[in-house]
Amino acid sequence: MDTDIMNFSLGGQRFGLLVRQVENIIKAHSGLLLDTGFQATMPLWLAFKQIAILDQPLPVVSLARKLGLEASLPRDGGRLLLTHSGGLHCALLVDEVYGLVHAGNQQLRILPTWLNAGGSRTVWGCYLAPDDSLTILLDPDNIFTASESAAINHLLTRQLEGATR
Amino acid sequence: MSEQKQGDVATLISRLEEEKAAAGAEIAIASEAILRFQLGRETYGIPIDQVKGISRLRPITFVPGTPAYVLGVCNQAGSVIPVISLSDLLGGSNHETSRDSRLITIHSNEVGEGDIGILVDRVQDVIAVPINAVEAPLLTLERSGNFLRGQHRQPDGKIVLLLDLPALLRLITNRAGG
Repeated sequence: MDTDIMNFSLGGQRFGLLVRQVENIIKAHSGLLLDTGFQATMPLWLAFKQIAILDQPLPVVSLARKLGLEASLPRDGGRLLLTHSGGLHCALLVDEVYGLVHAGNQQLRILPTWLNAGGSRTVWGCYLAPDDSLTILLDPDNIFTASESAAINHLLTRQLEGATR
Repeated sequence: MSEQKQGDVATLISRLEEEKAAAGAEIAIASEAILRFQLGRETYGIPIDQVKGISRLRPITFVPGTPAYVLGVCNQAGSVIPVISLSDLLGGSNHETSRDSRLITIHSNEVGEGDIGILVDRVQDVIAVPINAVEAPLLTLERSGNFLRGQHRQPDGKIVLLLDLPALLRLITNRAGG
């Protein structure tokens, strides 16, 4: 059975997500991301933004920074992949989206769990392309740790409460 | 020659052959085939029977979220294996590679999830190390000392540091998994 993978780049390297884990792809131009005015001490990889076409603010994650990669500044602002992580609706900022590939089971490899420092499962496998190159496959659901999810959820709740007052 | 003498000679020859075979077996048991390789200025050794293959360097794909000694993964004839910088793990920080750099693929039950490639500066050869010629590792080898099961002084006086591969692999997998 084939699996559809969405390929994208981060800091010059190719990564992939399962297509079924991505709800939507949005071009991340400056007019789209509106500041929520929410003041909070947040890690560099995280921001709360109101995306103009959505009705509520979302955690926007610089995936490159979150993964410890050198964050580049895409010329056109990059792309936002709308997905879920740790039960939260969020947007992952990536540099460029290449498109879809259909991967057969024989082209997918599950990586050993011990590779993930701290026991996280952000990286779960890789795709062997016909040209022998490897694409690291990420699991968006494991991008936030449990404590990060809880903290973000708390901030989001406060943000929404502030908006309704 | 009488039939009895012929029988005695045959028995003696047979016994001699048995003794020779036993002696040969003893020699085989008493020495270990060790793959020697270079890492910085040191020469290390691992049992050749734990080595699955030796290859030139292949492109290594970086995997985020791994410890510094995990260089990434590489495609080894359709198998994807993690690549470890032994230099980094043993206290060095040299990630530079050269034409002599090699990837030694090892398989161990300690890992449980397949093979691991270790990056070394140069592979030398395979030598027979008599078990009774393995000395205790020097206590001055602070960091790598934890992963050594001994050292072998060669006839030319050079030392081969014998790695405790199971201990090393246990540390890699436990450390990385957090």
